[in-house]
Amino acid sequence: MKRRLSLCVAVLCFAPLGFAQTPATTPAAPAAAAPTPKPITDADVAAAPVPSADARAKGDPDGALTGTASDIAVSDAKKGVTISDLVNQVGQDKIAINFVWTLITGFLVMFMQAGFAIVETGLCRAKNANHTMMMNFMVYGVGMLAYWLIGFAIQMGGVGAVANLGGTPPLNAEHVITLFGKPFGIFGQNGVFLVHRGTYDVAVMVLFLFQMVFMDTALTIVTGAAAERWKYAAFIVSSFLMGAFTYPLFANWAWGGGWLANLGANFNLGKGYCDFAGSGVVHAVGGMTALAVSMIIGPRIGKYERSGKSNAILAHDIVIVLTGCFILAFGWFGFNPGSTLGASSNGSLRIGSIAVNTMLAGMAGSFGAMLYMWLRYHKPDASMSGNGLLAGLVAITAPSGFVNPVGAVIIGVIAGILVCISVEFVDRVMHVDDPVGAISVHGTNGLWGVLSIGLFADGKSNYGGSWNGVTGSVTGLFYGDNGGQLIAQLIGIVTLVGFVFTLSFVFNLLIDWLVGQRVGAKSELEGLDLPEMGALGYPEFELKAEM
Amino acid sequence: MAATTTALQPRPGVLVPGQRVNPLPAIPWRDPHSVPTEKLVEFIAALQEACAQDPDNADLHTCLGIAHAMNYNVYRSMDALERARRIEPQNFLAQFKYAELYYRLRALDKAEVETTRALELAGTSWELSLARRQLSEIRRLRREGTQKPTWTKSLKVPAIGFVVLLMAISWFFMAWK
Repeated sequence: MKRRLSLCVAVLCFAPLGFAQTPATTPAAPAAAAPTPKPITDADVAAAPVPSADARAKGDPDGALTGTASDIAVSDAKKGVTISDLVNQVGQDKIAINFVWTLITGFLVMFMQAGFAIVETGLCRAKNANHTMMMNFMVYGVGMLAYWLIGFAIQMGGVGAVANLGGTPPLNAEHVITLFGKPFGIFGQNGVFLVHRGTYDVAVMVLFLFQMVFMDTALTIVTGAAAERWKYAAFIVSSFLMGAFTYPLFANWAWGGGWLANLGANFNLGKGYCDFAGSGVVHAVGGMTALAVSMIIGPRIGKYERSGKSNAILAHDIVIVLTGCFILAFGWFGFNPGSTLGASSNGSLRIGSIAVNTMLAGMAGSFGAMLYMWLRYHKPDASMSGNGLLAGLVAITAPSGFVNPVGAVIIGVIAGILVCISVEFVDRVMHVDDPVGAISVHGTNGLWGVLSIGLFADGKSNYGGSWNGVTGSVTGLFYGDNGGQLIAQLIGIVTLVGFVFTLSFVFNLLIDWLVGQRVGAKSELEGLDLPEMGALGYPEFELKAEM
Repeated sequence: MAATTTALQPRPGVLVPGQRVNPLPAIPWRDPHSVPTEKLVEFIAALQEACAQDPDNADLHTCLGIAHAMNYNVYRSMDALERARRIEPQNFLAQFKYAELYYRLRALDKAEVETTRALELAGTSWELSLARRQLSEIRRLRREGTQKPTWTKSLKVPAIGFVVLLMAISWFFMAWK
């Protein structure tokens, strides 16, 4: 079987070489003389034909009469449409496109919560279904409130102007300290309650929605790793603290104008720490916090024997697990392409390649994981194939805007294999119980995604000629960079492991002392649905695992 | 404490019509399932004392294991049942309850192995039917549930293979440029 599989892989790898086409040569077009430009005047604009009222009254079945010069807002009705009106309309259209793009992709990311909820619930035992679903459901509301209250201000309060959204001038106050003679942005200060210091602003609202759903994605990662034994009250407090402080702090450093983003400008390390859509900011932060919480609350009863030997605990529904993976893959089309924060600006048309990279890496990840499990355990393993898909998507999240499709597939395949090795490592070597593999999917592969930018960024992306305030495109080691970008990425990784993990650990240790993180053994063995939530997830099913 | 009485109560007896059912025997010779929850701690303490006085009695340790499980203390239950199995490897009830513990935790790989062992030890048709029923339920769950692999193989080979893969990819890119 192994030999057959290896043969198939080899054929699949080399087949494209055999079918590679020779590029067709295109005849050079004759150089045409450029026409002399003729300045447009207000009179030309005013003379643009518009459909008559009679014509419009008859309806417009083919759409030819709708959306014409008559729809342009005019500043002075007596003058009619002027060049100034036209230019303003173009500007507003551009921002409108970007608003709509960012909002719709934000809505897609919000829908990922449903995917996370059913993936995690399916991977847990039926007796904990209600509890796991409720954690995933309420993390949305709890996280949102924390973020609205203070988190957004900490993260984005000093980001400055976000040009794609028409500028966000109220977000202009970053707390900065000076170290080594360089400014280090630590946290933002404007935007509390979304009304503070002029932040009741349309562009700020769009930015808030998009960033909020990202933050909630990070929060929901933890509920998977701590499932089946996390006290609901402790979960609420922990999620609130993460949404208010842990996540926004690191997000500020990477995206809000903080010190990590400025490693390039301050220390000449590539373009500074780069994380296009959040392998580090969202997934690794979630993964590190998941690790901290799992370590504090300990493994599920029966997971490990006295000797330390690990027992596999059966999950209850593979159908909803894989359905959830599909929902997540769909939502990821909002996550990565949406991170351009616009579809109409410099470089934003890369949304096409970003979406394709996302798709490729995700499926390469599931392929890598499936192949690994098949070769090693003689079964393709559905749950690990699903985790492989998510691992590929997590890993491509940071580099999706900077790499080409070849890089995306390599990143995805590595992520798929890495998640399997990491799950084994976390389970058997670290003895940390993670029922859904969240630490490996999001933590390990989040870090891999961050690192991969320093290797695979091809220097072809061009988002307005600079990134993080440094001129040029993000370039990795394999595409001619001197290693500065890789070092910036490694500094990001050290910060994630050193700072985020430690802060999460301290927060959750405090919660453990004050509230208690873990349910009682009786509740855990009976299933958390009744003792914690007061209702069974599957009331008419016969659950036979009652102690 | 005299520990010369017969086996545990849950073993079936055939009731003849009109026969008077004897009242439950005194602690510790009593089926843990018949002990009220509020008296479970007291019952466990009595069983522990009995086990200390008669450390080689597999039935007593089995009884203690069941009582611990009912008190939601899984690891102590596991310890007591393992001790019972060590003392009397042919004891069906000790083996069966040990397997049942894993089944109830949904650690099905281990539960299947241990229940199969219990099946081999079954000496009566009642014991046989108990073990068979549990085994069939375990297999049904394995068939219908989401199985996770049991990580039993060495991590060295995949770890080394993974590093080699990374080096090969790096070499490929360096050579390509």
